[in-house]
Amino acid sequence: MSQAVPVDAVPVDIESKNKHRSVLLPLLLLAQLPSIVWFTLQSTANPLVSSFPFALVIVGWITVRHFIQARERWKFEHLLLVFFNILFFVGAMFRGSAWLACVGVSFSIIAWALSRRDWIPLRTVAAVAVLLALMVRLPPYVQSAVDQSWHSTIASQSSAILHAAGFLHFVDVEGVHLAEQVVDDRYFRGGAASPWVLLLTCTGLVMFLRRSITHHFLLLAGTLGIGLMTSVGATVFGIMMVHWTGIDFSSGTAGVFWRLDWLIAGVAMIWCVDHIVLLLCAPIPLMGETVTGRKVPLGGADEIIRDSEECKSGNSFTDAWNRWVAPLPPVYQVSSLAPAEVKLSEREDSPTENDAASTQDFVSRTELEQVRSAGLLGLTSVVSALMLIVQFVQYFRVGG
Amino acid sequence: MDEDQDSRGREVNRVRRRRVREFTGGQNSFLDGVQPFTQLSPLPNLDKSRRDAAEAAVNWFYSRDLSLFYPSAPLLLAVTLFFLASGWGETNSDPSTRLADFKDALQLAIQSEDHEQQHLCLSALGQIEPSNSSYAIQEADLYLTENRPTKALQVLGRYVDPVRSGSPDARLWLLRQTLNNKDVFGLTREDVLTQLHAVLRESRGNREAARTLARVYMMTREWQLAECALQDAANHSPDLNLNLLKLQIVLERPEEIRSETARLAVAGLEALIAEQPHKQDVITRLAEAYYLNGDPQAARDLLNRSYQRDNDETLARSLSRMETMIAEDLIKKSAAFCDVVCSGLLRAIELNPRNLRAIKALLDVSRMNCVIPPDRLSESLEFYRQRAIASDATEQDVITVVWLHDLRGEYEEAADLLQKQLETSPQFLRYNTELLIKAGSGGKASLLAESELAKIRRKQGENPGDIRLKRQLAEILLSLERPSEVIELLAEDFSNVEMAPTADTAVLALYGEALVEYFDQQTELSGLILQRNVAAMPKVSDRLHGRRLIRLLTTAISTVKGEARNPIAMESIDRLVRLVMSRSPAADDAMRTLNSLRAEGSCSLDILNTLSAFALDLKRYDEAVSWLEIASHTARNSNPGILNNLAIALVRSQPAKPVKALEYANEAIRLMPDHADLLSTRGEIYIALSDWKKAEADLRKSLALRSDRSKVHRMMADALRGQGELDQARHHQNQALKLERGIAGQQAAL
Repeated sequence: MSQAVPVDAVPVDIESKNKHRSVLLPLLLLAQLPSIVWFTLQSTANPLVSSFPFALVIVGWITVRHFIQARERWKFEHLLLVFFNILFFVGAMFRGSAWLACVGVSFSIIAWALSRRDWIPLRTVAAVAVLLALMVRLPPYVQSAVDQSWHSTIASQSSAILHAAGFLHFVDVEGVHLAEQVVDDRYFRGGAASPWVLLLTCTGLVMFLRRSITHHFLLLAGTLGIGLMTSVGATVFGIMMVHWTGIDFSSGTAGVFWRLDWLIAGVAMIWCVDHIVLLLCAPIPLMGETVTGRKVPLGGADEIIRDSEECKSGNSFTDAWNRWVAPLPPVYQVSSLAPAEVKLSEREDSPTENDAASTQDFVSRTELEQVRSAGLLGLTSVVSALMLIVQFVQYFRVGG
Repeated sequence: MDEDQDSRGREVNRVRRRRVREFTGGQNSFLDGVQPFTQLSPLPNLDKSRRDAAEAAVNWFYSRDLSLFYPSAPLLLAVTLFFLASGWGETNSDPSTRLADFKDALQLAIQSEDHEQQHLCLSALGQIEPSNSSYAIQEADLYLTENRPTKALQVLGRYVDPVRSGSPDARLWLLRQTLNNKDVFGLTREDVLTQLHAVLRESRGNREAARTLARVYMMTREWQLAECALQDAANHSPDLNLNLLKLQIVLERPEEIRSETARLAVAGLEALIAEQPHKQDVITRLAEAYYLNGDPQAARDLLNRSYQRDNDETLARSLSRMETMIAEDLIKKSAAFCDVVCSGLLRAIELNPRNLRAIKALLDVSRMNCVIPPDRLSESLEFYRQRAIASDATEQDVITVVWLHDLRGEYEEAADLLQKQLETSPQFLRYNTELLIKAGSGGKASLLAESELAKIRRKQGENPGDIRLKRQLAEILLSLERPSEVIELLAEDFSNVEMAPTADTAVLALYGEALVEYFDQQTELSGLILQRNVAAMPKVSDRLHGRRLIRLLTTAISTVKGEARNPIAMESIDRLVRLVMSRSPAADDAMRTLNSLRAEGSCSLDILNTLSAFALDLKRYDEAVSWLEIASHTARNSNPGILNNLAIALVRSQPAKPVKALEYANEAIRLMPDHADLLSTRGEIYIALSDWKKAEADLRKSLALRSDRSKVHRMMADALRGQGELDQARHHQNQALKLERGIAGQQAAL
């Protein structure tokens, strides 16, 4: 049975030398910040993701706070991801695509998260990956088609309901045409009320509540359904309100509050779905074997999960369920979003013997790393500077 | 090592026993006393993995916390509501329901003139039925009424895309608007052509597109392209051969091509009228096709029948136009038809009082000494009088009133009216003088003309080379009956007419007119030929004098370059014929001149007609027969007027030849049925043949068409007397007497 590497086991001098390495990736990410900003600015034109700049800040802050205290340990595959980042960056600059650059950035962020794999549960890393996927989304032309399809589905559903309710109207690219005015219905269901924001919120909740990957995907599916319902509801009621009160809830301050209301409704429904999924995915209690061979519960689920090695049930199905499907007990305090305690003994994230061996190798190679890290810092600084210059030239030209 | 294991096993057993006790709550159970090492698994026969699975499933089931299900209640409610609403929407808003709802709403919006609602409904209908462009056209129309052409174009956008497929109807609507109101959409000629080609690509042989395309090409004088466009369209719609034929006439295509097109046009339109017998447009077009195919009688019959059946104003106008065209053709054929033409033109004016063309033609005919009953022009006069006093009256309206007064013999009114126009239109001075002379105010006319003459002479002194002033001067001198001065004025320009081919035709005509008038003065004919007066003969002192006079007339004819039916040529021929008929010393020379002119071919038929007309009027029937036989041969027996005159000459000659005359009369009636003159001629022949009943039938028909001829009443009296119906004969005799008295009164008044 493998043993986790205690935090205290890492020599202080190695940690201090490792500081050089710790700033390499943030430097690389900061160098690509213009691409992220440019892509974000481009996204604001799309009502479905116009609230992403706010979501980006919040989610980024949560992620950083979640990972910042964990120490990193680099392996070949992580460096490969960084290499992909550089490759995508070069491609992005040639194609003039901010989206491609952001895909590259997401590789580096995943590499950064994976490098803390020893201290951070896999589900959290997976949630970060999902967050990144939601942020970056699909290639712009595919995304545009998907968005269009989404809008037409919602417009068709809401139009059918409105027509059945006796509202004479028609829908085209300009929005919903009523006798008195034309309303851009995309803003009834866009912004904060967008399904993308709901999906982001859902992933944030999963991260916060330490739900399993299975739970996460079930919840995402449910959230998509909720997005459909809230979008149809927001559109139908929005148009009814325009007709009855004359107030256009698709724009202005009224629009902001309208969308926030629908976001709250959506989050409430996500909470409901989470509970239903939790009913299915709750951990199976461990059973002790009685003298007669019967199994009896040994205690509460949380206690059993924490007490990993001592409370292994011996039942592979139960163990697998509790490892991949059941949520972990929350470790956040209400007062802070930072993890209150990070257990290295969590089952799904316990480092393996190989990991331990690698750690030992890492310690033994420290001297060599010390020499290399200084040169690497210089190289990274030069690359970052080049990246910044290329981006400014590219986007200035494209923007101009 | 073994001891360790034993102790460990004991410890485990101890723990297990304790847990069993705890599990049973200290109560004894069937498990108590069971050896802990003994395997009492509930699933003893299963292997470990299956047992684990079963255990996990059972544990999963019994460990569910059902209280977690409670928060799902609001979600379930929301989901249920959502599905119910969606289902309700899908059921109650299928396209057919929407279509019906929007159509109802559109009708209401149209009734209440709610434009916003109309726009909404039309846009929605267009979206539900995207292949139906009528909604977009309706909406574009609505936008145009709101003076928003850009929006109209935007609405039509996808239907009038120049590259991709669209809607022919929408394209044609756009073209109609563009061609009717050029700046509304700002389309260029290229845009129009692109749209037209797109329509023809999407709807092959589209009538309207082909016609519009031809029209566009004709506007830019691309005749061959226009002809090709119409030819293509005519292949699909044979009735469009009529449009093609009109173009071919303009382009002077060979006769065989035109006649083939005319035949196809007639066939196509006859097929069309079989399907739509009451469609006025088709009736009118078929009549046009008959006319252009050389069958004006069929055209008139068709329009007559349709007019009598439908009593429609459009058909009346078409019939009026047709009568005018037939009359114009007839008068071109022979002056002998002037009564027939007059009758036709009067009918045309009665059918359509605003028919200006007919009024103008009647004015020309009136100069051939036709009798025009004034009351038949009353309606037209009233119409144009109203037009002339309206705020938007034009000069033409006033002149038309003058013409109508002139035609009605109201010369004073005509002259008064025209005098007001002289300041702005001095070209009417001569006409005004004529009117004043006719009104018996010759002195006033002379004073007026002299005053104008002095003014123009002053101007001419300042600018001697001004041809316009010379023309005005010539006109005034002619109105003052001073042709010698006109000849003197223009002689230097036209001493040799043949050498002045590029001369101003109007001035040339004045020169010719002056020559004829000078001839009249020299032969004492002036003032004697106001009405057709066959007794007025020129006085020639000797042969040499005669030759000088004949030279004047031949020069006059040459000024109009041998143009057939030209008034100057006709007057010159008239004077030459009078010289021949007068048997004066210049008669032989005049005859030779006429023969020479006939040999040139341009006025041959006019000369023969005039000769025969004089011979008939002078009752020299044998002479008339000889001229008319030549004329009939020249006209290939297709001129009903010549045939009619020939029949009259034959029946009245001594000895009479009524059988031969009947043949000619029948042929004339075949060519022009239901004509009063031709019918009365045949009636006369039947009287000569003592076939009273047939005579009565023809004469009755003739009187039904025209009842104001005393001679026909007399013949009718003869025919009735021949059958022993003396009372009726007396009645017609009285009618004849009454009419003759009326004519005598009119002549006395004149």
